[in-house]
Amino acid sequence: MLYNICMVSDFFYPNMGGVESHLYLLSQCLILRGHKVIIITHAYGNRTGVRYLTNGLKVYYVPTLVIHNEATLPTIYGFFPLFRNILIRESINIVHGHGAFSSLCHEGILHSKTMGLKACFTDHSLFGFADASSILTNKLLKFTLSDIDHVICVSHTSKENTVLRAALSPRNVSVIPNAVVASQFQPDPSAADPNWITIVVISRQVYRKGMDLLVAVIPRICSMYHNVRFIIGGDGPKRIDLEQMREKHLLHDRVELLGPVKHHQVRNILIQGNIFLNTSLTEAFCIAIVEAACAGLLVVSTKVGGVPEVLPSHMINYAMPEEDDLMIAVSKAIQMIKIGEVDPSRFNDELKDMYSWSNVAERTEKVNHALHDIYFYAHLISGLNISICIYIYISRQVYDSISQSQPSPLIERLRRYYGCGLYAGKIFCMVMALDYLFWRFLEFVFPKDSIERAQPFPYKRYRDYVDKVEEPKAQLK
Amino acid sequence: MPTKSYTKENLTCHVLVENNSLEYIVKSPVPLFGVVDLLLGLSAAIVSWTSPSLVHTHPRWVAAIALIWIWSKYKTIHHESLLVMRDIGIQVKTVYWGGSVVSKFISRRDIEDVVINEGINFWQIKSYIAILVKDQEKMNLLPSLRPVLLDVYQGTRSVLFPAQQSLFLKK
Repeated sequence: MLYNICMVSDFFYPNMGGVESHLYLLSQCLILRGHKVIIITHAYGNRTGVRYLTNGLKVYYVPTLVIHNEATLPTIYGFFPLFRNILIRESINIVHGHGAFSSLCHEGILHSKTMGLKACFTDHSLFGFADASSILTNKLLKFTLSDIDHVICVSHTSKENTVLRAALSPRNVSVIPNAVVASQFQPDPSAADPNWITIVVISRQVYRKGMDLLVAVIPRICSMYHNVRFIIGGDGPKRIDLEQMREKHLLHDRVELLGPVKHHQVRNILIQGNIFLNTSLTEAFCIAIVEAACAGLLVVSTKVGGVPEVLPSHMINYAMPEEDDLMIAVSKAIQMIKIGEVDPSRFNDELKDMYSWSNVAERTEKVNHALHDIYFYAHLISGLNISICIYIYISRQVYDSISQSQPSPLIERLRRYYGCGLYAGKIFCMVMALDYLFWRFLEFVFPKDSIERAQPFPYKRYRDYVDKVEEPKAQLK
Repeated sequence: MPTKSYTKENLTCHVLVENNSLEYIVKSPVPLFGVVDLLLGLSAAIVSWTSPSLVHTHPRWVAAIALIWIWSKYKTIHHESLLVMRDIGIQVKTVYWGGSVVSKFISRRDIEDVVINEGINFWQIKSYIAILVKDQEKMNLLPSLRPVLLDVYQGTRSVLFPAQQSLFLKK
């Protein structure tokens, strides 16, 4: 069964990050299978309107006000008319929201349920329960997830977290980890400089990625070991701290700050290193350490969130997110590289053997129609074709199971929202009721038949043309 | 010189010279006097009936409102036209009800491409034809319905870029 799917999130290209690449890769996999996918996100600077990406992936950049860190101002009803127009003109069946911080995602799910479409949600981050922002976000999440068809989390830790936060039944939540294109991260043992032991750090330089830990650890390591150097890529508000640390300890020849790095350049930077250091304070699923392990680096990481689920223990050294423990872990890794105890360039092959297609297929058997947990990080490393197959197999299962369920009547929805809390339940019911009335009003003012349907992208002809014209050209080269 | 022409909904196409020159005229579907004008007229009638003194005591307000209404009628678009000539260029003309005409000419050398794009307009997504002009931001015109746009698009491209085969358009 082919679906028309709409992905809604505040976070998409040109912003770089895990959510964005997850969205892109998932959409490309679905298009390959024949579904139609569009993406709705907010306008980035001058970039508004409609754009087409590879294979006809249509992206709508909707002009909204951005308040903080690429998240938009939540005007609940302001987005509704344009959203409804887009959904009708593209004949969408399923709306898929990403990112709990993204208000566009929450609004999209609310409106799609009001319009009678199916909705599902993918959570990419972990949250606390104690501070003010977490409490508010958790309540908002509870509101959104009261009436949703399916929830997907990227790791088991993330699933526990989401289930506790939103008070969901664990049966309705699946675990589908992020995938990586392993063929893009082949190792190259000759690229690293043999005179130095190089530690690579590539991450956004923000507080939650543990930049303060990094600032504390680097001078100590540099003074303890004289043949260790650092390559740091990425940009963010904490970059100034790293530069100040470099100035203070006069480490200009030992620490190299690369600035913002494009995703296709990441592999070339990774292969120059021997060790990859990840100091995140919170992480639902760290795709960066997987990419680093594929590229043949020994990984040192803080043991937070979903990180322990990702790699086998001989490829990674864990540490508590504090300075001394991190020092011990890094020192151990340096020793291991010096005496040649591990050979990181074989990680790519090892993981391919360990997680072979038969092993993965055996785990696939455990998936049944109600779609329970799937423990799938095998497809991460075993190559592009397998990762695509499993990815779309899972997504197709999710979408199949969603589309079979009946839309619930209005009173049932009101009942679900009412159960959110003593006061919150009543407020949510009012919000949702007003949403419904607004929808009825819009149906009257802009009726469905007055909205033109958009022309579908001629995917088959595009692929035929590309295969006929581009391949011979590539072969000639 | 005999000119072939055909009409589809609110699009009229005159073929001035075979394969060399085309003119597309799109009439505005909005009538000159619409529902709003009716309501205005009714409310004006009611006001002058119930309190006739009001009209006499504020002559300036009445005159101002009347002038604004007349000015808005003058500025309503009657039709838009696109005249395409091979190797010469494109002329875009907008004709208003008041008789005024605004036209713009783009020479063939400056035209990079003619494309159809979709844009966000208040609460709707509309398709429009854009003429990509060298050294400038693109010039847009004729936001209309899909059947109208495709004809104009195909015709314009066949005159301006005769060598290209269109791969993605169904004939």
